[in-house]
Amino acid sequence: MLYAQVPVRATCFKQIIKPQTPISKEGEAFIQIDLLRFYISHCYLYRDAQKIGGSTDSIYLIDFEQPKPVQFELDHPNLVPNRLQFCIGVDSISSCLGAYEGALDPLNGMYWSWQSGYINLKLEGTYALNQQKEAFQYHIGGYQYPYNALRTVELDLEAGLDFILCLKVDLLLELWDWKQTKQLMRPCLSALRFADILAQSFEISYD
Amino acid sequence: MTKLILYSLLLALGGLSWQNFSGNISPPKHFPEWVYPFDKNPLTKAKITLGRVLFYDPILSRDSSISCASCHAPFNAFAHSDHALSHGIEDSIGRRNAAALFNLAWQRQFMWDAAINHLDMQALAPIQHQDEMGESLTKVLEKLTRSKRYQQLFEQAWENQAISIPKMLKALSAFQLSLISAGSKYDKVKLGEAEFNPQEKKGYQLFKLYCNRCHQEPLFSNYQLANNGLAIDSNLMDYGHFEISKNSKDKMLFKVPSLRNLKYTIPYMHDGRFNSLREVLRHYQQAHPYISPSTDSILKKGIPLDDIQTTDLIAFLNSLNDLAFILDPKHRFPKILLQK
Ligand code: HEC
Ligand code: HEC
Repeated sequence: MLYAQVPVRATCFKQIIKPQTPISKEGEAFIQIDLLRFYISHCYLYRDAQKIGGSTDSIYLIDFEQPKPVQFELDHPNLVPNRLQFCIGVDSISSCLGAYEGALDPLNGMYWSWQSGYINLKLEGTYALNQQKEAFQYHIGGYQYPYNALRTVELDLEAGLDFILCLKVDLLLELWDWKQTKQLMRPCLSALRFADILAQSFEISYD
Repeated sequence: MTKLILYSLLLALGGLSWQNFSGNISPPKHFPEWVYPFDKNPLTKAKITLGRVLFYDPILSRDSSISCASCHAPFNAFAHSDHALSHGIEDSIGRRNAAALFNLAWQRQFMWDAAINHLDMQALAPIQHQDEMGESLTKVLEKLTRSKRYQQLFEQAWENQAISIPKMLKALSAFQLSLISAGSKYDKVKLGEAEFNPQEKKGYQLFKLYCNRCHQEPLFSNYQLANNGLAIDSNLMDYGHFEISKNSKDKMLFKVPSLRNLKYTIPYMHDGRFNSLREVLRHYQQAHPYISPSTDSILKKGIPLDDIQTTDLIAFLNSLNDLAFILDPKHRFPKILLQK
């Protein structure tokens, strides 16, 4: 069996996000991210309509402090994939199965004990707003109708398996209109909108 | 022939569901199938023991002052008597009456508002809650890993695998799943070992007429959400399931509690507002025409019970008290916690 590792990365204005490192925009301090963690699950590689590989784990917790790659098992190593599909978050079935080790361990701080269910994404830090600092905290999740925040992402692949999956936080915040809402901590309509935007903020990069 | 094979296969599978997975615990004959997924967490004696020690050990709280048993005491059928609202760390007062704990293997949702979807995940709420045990999971794991006692107990329960939060949760479940209350007079009657007296018999008829649709026998709850017509407490402003779903249809929906062991679980209702069964029945006798659209129709008009019927119904409810459960030494404080 053949395997491929796909690195996952989070960037802001083309800089890789690192802990305790302010990121500037056009020479001015803009943001510092203190925590960025998210689940990706149900990852598959396609050649046109044919599924040619799937991730070896069903769920990965990606932490920007030490992002782990997603490992794919290739059922058809001779075929070059041209599409990647994955979900952001934990699906509703997995959200109701009780205690698990590994990515779903509640110790990871990604479980809402007050309402049961995983937080699909945590993004926390401070914005630098005209010399003032303002904290932000986004905990996006929800697995029950009507607030199911799980999202599926599909991205085209152009040059085979040597790609990096990239979350562009600058794009996410631009689409989100971060000046409006700086706290989001529960399943609700805004969380659904955030989830939609999050799904549009991934891209494939080759460097 | 094929039918026979299929039948034996079904029997074998049916048997598997509890015999192989639930250790020495089996569902009482007159109970329905339980719903806890024992295949994902097979019960063993070692796991139940570990869970029992964890349940009684204040090590799970920030300042080692509060254990699960501080709010869930065996002599109260694992509820908290005398306190309408639960008391937690540093004397903080919670928002709800501590629920009684028994027959949990038959429940799919937990807490008064059904906020929690799996027994294994329930303990995360009190452990991390600022007003209950106020501790972080990282600290809990550190404390357990450092302790000789827990190294040993986890080793026995999980054959040398590392201590972890999911294992702790599953052990707490194991102990709580072993809390089965099925030894009341009612149970003996159902098993043909006793008979109701005439008063209890009349009460049973009234019960079946007015209460059974929600407090369904033999568990005495359907464990679904319902609105039994309680007015909202203007201090607590607790809207039940609405707090979780934020759907206005869910206002004042609370999980139907079991009516077993009521003698030991005073006070009653999610906020402990009633101190006697007579008060509860007075509530059910009143009409509740306008309180909320989700109020059950049978309760809107009020249940017609005269004084004699009230007494009969209470006599029946008393036949649901299970002293053998309350006194069961297997459920009590484990002596191992007295050793250093
Ligand atoms: C400070 C008091 C307090 C402590 C400590 C506490 N509980 Fe509870 N428990 C409660 C209250 C109050 C409820 C009802 C909460 C609600 O409905 O929101 C409850 C509910 C429960 C339920 C749900 C029962 C049902 O039928 O829905 C379980 C199970 C439970 N507790 C187990 C535990 C375990 C295990 C621990 C220890 C890890 C624990 N509790 C610690 C007060 C407490
Ligand atoms: C429509 C469903 C429904 C019917 C019918 C009903 N109940 Fe209830 N009952 C509930 C619900 C829901 C609660 C919890 C309400 C709360 O705390 O907010 C409850 C609570 C109780 C409690 C408190 C138990 C505890 O542990 O706190 C008692 C006692 C009780 N009911 C007795 C009865 C009796 C006796 C009858 C028949 C005369 C009856 N109920 C009919 C739904 C119902």
